[in-house]
Amino acid sequence: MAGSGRGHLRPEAVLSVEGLDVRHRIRRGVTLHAVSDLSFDVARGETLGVVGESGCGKSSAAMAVMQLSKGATGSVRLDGEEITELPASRERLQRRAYQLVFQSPQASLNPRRKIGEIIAEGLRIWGCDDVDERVDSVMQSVGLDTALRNRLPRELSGGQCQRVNIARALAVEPKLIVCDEPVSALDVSVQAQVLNLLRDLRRELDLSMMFISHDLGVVKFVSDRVLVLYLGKTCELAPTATLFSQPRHPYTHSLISALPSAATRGITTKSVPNAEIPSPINPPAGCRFSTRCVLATERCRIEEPALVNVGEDHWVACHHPV
Amino acid sequence: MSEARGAVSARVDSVDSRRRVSRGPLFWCCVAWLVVVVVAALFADLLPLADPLQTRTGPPRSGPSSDNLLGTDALGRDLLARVVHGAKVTLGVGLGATAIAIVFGGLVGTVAGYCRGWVDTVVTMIIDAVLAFPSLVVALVVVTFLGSSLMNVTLVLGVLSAPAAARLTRGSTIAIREREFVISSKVLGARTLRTIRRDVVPNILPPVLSFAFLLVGVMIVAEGSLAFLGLSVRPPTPTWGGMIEEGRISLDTSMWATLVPAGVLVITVLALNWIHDVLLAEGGTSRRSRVQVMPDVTADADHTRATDATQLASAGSEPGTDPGESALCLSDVRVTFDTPAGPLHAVDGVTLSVAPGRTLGIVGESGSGKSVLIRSFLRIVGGSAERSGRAWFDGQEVTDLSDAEFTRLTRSRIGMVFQDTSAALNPVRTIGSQMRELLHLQLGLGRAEANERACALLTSVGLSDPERRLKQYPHQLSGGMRQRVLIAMALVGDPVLLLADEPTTALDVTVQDQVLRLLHDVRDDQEAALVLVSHDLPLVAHWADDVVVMYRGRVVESGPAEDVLSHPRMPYTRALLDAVPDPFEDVESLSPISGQPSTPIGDAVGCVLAGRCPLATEICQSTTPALERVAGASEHRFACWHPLETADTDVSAPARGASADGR
Repeated sequence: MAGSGRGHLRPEAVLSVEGLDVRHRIRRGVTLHAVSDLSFDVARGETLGVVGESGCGKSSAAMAVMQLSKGATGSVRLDGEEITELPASRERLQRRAYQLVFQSPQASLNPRRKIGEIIAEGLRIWGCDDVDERVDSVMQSVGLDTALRNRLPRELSGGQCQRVNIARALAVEPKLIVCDEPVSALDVSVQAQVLNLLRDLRRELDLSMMFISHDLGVVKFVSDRVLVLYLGKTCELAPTATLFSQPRHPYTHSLISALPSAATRGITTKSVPNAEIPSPINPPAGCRFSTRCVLATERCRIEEPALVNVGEDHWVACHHPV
Repeated sequence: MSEARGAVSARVDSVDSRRRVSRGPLFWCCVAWLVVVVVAALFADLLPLADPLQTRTGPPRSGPSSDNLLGTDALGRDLLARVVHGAKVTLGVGLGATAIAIVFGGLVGTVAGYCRGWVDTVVTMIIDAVLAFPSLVVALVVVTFLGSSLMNVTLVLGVLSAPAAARLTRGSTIAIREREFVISSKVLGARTLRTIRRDVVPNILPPVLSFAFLLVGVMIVAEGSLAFLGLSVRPPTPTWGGMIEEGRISLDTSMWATLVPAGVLVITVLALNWIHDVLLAEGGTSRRSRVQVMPDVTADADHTRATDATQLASAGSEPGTDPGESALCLSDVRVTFDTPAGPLHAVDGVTLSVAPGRTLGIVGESGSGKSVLIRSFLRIVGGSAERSGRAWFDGQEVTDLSDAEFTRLTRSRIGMVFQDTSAALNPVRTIGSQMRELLHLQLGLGRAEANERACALLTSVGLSDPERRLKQYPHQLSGGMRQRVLIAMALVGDPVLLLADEPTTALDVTVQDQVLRLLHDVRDDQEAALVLVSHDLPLVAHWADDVVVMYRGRVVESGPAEDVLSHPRMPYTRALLDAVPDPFEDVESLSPISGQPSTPIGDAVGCVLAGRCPLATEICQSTTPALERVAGASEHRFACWHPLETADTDVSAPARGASADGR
């Protein structure tokens, strides 16, 4: 399997990633190929969910999009403009256009600065006027009491901290927000608050988002389209409803059928692969999923499948789609 | 298993040891001494002291007297006056050199640590080279050539200590530069210097400041050594080191001229070192731990405090089955931690039991006490916890057993699987050595036998190539494999009880499914009971036979999984279920629970959920509902004044309606 191919890219996208490769050097002579030849895009007002097991390259891809990854090659275009390999000064000037929300709500806030200052930081960097009013308005839009301005991060709960992170990203009015597991550190009840907020904000502000999560329920809730990664390669890309109702890649299929729920009590899922996930340092030849796939044949172990169109905006990299 | 226990108790110990160095009276005595020395040095000329240079203020080489409070030196000069005036020079050199070292070294270290790359390589090489020289010898040589003025001594000592300061700030900066909030600053588009100034420096300042205290002490000693060799400020200007040197000559006739400056020097350096130790201990981890203990204290202050009567009401529940037939039975278990904000009732009167061959799911948000409950049964909660209640294991009451007896009874018969596999396995020992140790301890097996048994165990949990696995270190295995190793270790003594605390939280769905299936295979093979602690409701709904829902240390609903999770009677349980986005349904918007999960500090009056429940009324605020059985129904119990109706009792029940609306 392999997400090689560019056919699914749309010319009018806000974010357009082409042939992205991320390599991390572990030690001399050992390189982890975290992302291989990955191409995807995000249209205006669209949320692209990215799912996959840990170590599948989701976060590496996000960091590469954010220009925070040293070992990344390939093209990342924002509104048609290439943002990779810019000199440091030009890169900094582009920064305002794409923002990041981290997984850990508290760790992404400077423990020694007040909430108001943290949210205002971007506005100050870019020399905006009316910083105070804009901080108030963005705090209100993410559901934070403006009285919290003078509090320190440690005085806030996890949910509130994540709202501050979202407010900080929104304050500079970016074209794209990348969310890397934004709710996985939160309790269920608080997670729902933040998810609703992200959904409402997307509607009100016409936000474009890349939303990374290992939780399929969460991804289903926020995303318009979903990209499934496995060992750094694309398995499947489809509109959310299609992906969940008719997954075509055996891996997507096993992910969805492995989901626990009251409804599946006592049912043993057959399509769940039993073998261990291979190491990304030494991925299998051919289709990377072939070692765990119940449908794999000799061809899968030799030849890498290309990403092909199997329906309306539905792309799968598999020799034997379900 | 023993490894897991070791890891947990080690964590508890580290909390305790951190407390030992704190701002006690000794700290404030040190601060007071330094203040006295500094003030005396600053205002030496204004103080009613004798002239430090005037000879024959009293009889030479005399001890303390009313005229000369600390005695006189060989020339009859007043020692008190000389020590105070000497402090000007000594502290001047100490503070000045430290300032030079911290500012210069700190700047270089911060930039090198933040930028890394070639800048860092060059700086590190220079630091290493300079640190390789014996700095006092270099200072000696330099001062000999440049002349021994106050300025020269300060400069030389400052420059020579700069590498140490640079190394410290570089290390602190490297530790912080990968932190999310520093990256955030870059993401916002801040210039490097702005990021360093606003996000890096304030956070490395505490260790650097405490280091400064240490450095002042070192500089004072260094100046003293130079002065002792006659290479500091020229006599007759007094410095502490110079005074010690002068006193040394007449040591055989009078010790005062040496004792006074030496004593003052030693006390000052000790005070500086102690302040350094305290600041270092505070600046490190303790701040963080203090925060964790009391997050939402203010929010809960309104409805805390309780009477004994309401306490009793919450406990009103007896174990569902006969403890003699259960694998695990707990009755009215309480675990209370002493915190600065008041008693924290982590577990507040919990009663539950699980029979062999069944799976009990314990669900709850963070702070609900679900993990503490398990740890308290295993007797691995921290030292400051107060525990009460009764416990039965495999039908036998273990409440009054000593820790040693408890361990002997349960050692090989309880299997534990924790979330954090990396903490439960020793990273520097192979899987084989850890398994062999366990087999030796629990079953007394020799090496060859243990190896054979370990291979069999690893095979039984579905690990391929067990011989190779035994030779590997934990980090060479994936998370799923490590979890299997832990399960294999849990199986060593044919357990009758498996305790799994968030066993799959760090794992992916497909692996999660495998691990839980494995645990259930083991459960069925051994006729064991499984306790599955998790925050993941769909997971518990899928696997558990019985469910206990906890909140703020109390059980708010319990019973067969079918009843509790499909027809919950607690509005909170319903709300928890509705808050999880369901991958199998299209959901327009989620129904979050208002408020935050709160920390159970203080005694709660009324229902623990009164503050977060939409149905709460007067009675919920004032009186604690008892955990009671549904009339006529099975073991389904709940503690609620306004339970939701179920489909059986009322077709148009609000619960069903609300859930339909929510989706």
